[in-house]
Amino acid sequence: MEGLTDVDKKSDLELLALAKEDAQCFGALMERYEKPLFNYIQRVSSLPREDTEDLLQEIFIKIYKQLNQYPNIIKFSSWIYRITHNQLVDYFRRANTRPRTNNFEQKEWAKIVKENFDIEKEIINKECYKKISETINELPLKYKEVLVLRFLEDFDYEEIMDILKKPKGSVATLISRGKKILKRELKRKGIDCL
Amino acid sequence: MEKPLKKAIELIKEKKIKPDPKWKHLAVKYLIWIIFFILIFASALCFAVAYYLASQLDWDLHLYENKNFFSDIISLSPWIWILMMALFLLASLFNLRKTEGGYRWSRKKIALISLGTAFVLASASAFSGAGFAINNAVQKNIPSYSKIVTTKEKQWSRPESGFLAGSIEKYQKEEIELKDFSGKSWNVEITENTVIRPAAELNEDSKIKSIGKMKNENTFEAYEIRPWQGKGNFRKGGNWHSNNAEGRFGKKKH
Repeated sequence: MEGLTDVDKKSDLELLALAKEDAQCFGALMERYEKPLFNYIQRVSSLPREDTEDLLQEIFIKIYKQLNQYPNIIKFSSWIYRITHNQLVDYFRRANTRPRTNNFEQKEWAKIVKENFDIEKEIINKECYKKISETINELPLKYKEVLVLRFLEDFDYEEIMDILKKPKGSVATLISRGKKILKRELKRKGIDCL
Repeated sequence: MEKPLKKAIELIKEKKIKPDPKWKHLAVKYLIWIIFFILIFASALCFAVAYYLASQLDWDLHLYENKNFFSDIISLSPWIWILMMALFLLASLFNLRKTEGGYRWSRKKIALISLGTAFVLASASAFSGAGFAINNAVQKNIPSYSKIVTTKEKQWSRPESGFLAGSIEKYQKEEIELKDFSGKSWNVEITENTVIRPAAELNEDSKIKSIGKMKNENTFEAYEIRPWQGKGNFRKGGNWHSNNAEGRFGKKKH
């Protein structure tokens, strides 16, 4: 418990070193991420609160078991989100369910990709925030997740690349496609707040 | 909001869960790299065999068969080895993506690493004689192999098409007694028009190749005689020593 003094002053990596020996230090480290991870899971999965808590508990145990596997080449936060992402994917595979998806066909995807516009700045408009979040919620998991990470969790491209373990180009493509689908959905629903 | 974390910590303490040992993670990490090098090495060896087979073949025989060069490439290329090389290379590309930081590299960088490593190893393998050794081992152990791959022996064991090779058993002025690769004896007739390439040594036990015409089951008229290795155009300090330098094939087509 010696490691728990001045917890706030310690960096994630300092706490990580202590957490390997002491579960209490692990708790102190994870406290920093509990709320953001809870929100992230809810945003991406739309699971009920209780299920989200159960999943988060599983994720904490998984993170604890994998403490020695932290790769120093990426940010600690990216690594935490990576494990969460993997657990989410596993969860949906195990439960044989999927988060809500829409009915876009391949042809429509390709058509949307050809269009080009930028909503990155527009999304900052807070009045739009709720409506956009609702619309994001209806997107397929891979697009929804990448948009949540970029716009709601505020990760940059490099961090998203480390979380999803995808090349930067693939991340950029996912974001670009996701934005286009989102814009289309907003238009289709007549949401005119941009 | 404390619930999941609090529960997790309680569970960790209660079940005395410990972080997985580091060596497990390192073992997986190194295993992926080992697999990568095995795949690259395998592709390099496939290249070495393909190179060996291709370099052994005579690529000018289409001129004597009224075939075009393209169809010769299709029928003679060691496709099985080229295909295996491509598959191993492709697997190595996917494997590289699975390394710890592999997802960070662009496709171009991954292709460069894989192809670069493969090229270095392939060159080393090709010049070390690995292609010859592997080809021989496979030929001995897999009977159906010779049906799939065109070897030099196969290319020159087609007397009905005008191509015969083997070891000289006896050499007389106008006739050679030749034992082909199946052990069959042939009388190879040499006429005044027969072109004997400079490097072809017509001694007992020497291996030669002959282009000509099958006259009957045991007789083959030679239009041209080459040494077993290469076309035999040049010999140290020597020129054509044919009966007729132009010969029947002075202009190749016949």
